[in-house]
Amino acid sequence: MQHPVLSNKRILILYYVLWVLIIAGNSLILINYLNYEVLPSIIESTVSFILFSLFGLGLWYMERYTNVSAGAQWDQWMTHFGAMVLGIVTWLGLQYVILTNLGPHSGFFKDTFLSALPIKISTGVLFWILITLVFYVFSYHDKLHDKLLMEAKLKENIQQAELERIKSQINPHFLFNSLNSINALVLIQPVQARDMIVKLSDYLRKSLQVKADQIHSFQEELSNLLNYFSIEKIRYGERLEINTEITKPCFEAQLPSMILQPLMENAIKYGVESAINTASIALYAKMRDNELVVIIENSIEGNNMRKGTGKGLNLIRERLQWVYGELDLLQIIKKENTFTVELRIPQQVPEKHLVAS
Amino acid sequence: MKALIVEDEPLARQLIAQYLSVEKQISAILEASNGFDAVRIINKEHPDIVFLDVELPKLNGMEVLELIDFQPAIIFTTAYDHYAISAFEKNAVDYLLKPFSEDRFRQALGKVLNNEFTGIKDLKNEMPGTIERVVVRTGNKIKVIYIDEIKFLEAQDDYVNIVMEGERHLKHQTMKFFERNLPEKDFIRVHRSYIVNANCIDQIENYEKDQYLITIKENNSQKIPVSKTGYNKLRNALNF
Repeated sequence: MQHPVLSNKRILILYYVLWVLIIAGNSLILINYLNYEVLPSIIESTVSFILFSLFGLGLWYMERYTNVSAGAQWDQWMTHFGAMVLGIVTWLGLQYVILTNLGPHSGFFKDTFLSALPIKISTGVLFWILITLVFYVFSYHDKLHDKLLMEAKLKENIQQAELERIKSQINPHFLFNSLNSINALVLIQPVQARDMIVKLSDYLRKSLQVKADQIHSFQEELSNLLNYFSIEKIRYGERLEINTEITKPCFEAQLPSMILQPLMENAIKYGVESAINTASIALYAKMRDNELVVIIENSIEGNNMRKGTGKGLNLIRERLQWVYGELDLLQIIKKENTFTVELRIPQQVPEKHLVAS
Repeated sequence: MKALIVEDEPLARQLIAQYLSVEKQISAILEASNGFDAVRIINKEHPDIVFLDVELPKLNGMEVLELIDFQPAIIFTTAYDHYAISAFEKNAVDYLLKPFSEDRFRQALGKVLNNEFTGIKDLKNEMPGTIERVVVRTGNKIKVIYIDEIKFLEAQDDYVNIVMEGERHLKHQTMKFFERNLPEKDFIRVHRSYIVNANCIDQIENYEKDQYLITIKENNSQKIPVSKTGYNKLRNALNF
């Protein structure tokens, strides 16, 4: 942390304006109540307080390297106290040396110094404590600010790590079942087996590459989704069908990469899991008020209670919030026979969040 | 020898069927694509060997085993199961991790064909981990009960009475099984004969010194007795 007075010109000026006022005030007191002459009053006040102002600046470092707080140790208090005694003695000594060697009034200062000593000491202690307190407030405020900043940063780091973890997570059920399908296809339909290997490789490559803040076009996202769907279609055959309705302007829209993938995976998983017969998946996309709206829906057969998806959906919601800084971009609509997730993707991305892929 | 393949993916079924087709001892290959069909076919056709996928729609492989009257030799197939594999070992002749090689398949099949297995042990207390649903048979139907729907469980001889909103079902099972396998934060064994869903408790009243009774929401007629240890468990679970 920088010195709050020395690092800021305006505060430094203010600091010395205050000291000039104190010097003026002190001179007036000396003249009016102690019947000093004008010139010696001004000289005495100026010398003692200009000296003190330098000590005052140094007090910041004292405050910086010890820690006076509610939980401070006894020896820290003693350090402060010792520094104060040493500081004030030094201050008094320097004053004496300067005043008694300064021009025509040196004799006067020599005579009055001893009698002025108690008031000088109490003034010194008072100012010492006052300045220490002011610096304490400064440093406390700064530390608090740092702490809050660090907390916010830490939180963001954790969030990002979590996002990284979730989006690169490849569902092992999907992976091994797909490999099992390839195993079967090699025996039954070798040509299709090769096709499936290529599709699966594409999927794996995309899943491993993606970064949490990467943005790409809906067209790219769609081709990934349909590639994924075609793998699942090979696995499930008749048991899985899809309906798509996409308007052309959507293709150019931008969205975080692989954000729809987990939604499609969930839709297929829960659709198929609940269905004895055919599971229907719907994928709709359109532009609305300069937002890309994507709807992914799956059929639900019977009273299959959807379990354990809350976390995955929350992570998508968080990722959207993280990229767009907006709440409620993901909505869940649960009906008796369908489970629908609706996503709104704003097309004007805040500058600081946008990272081109 | 009759074989049944229970797989929800057609290619997975075809692969096993293909492997089985060259086995001379296999006289018939039956197929099922979901748990309900599997239960029905096993009870009706009495296959000698069943290839049973663990992940199935509606009823999973373990639940199928709970509901069958006839005990065939079971070979589980699973793509990836992080917790259950050790449990399957106890209940099945073998289990195959997908994708499996033809050699591995024939090795598993060989155990059945050569009578190397000693039949399936009692499944009743082997349900792994925490259950999310309970399956019961009512007449010739199979009912899937999600545990959120359960208000409380009551011991009744060798059975457990599962009490829900407006209906109750008997299941051949022990209280100990439910106590161990239902999520313990929701289901509390308050008495030797009762397990209560904590979310369904309306009130707990003190009717005598150290004697408490639970009233269930929207079901005021039946009061559930609470034992001394049961009361302590309730206090811990509900923080009072």
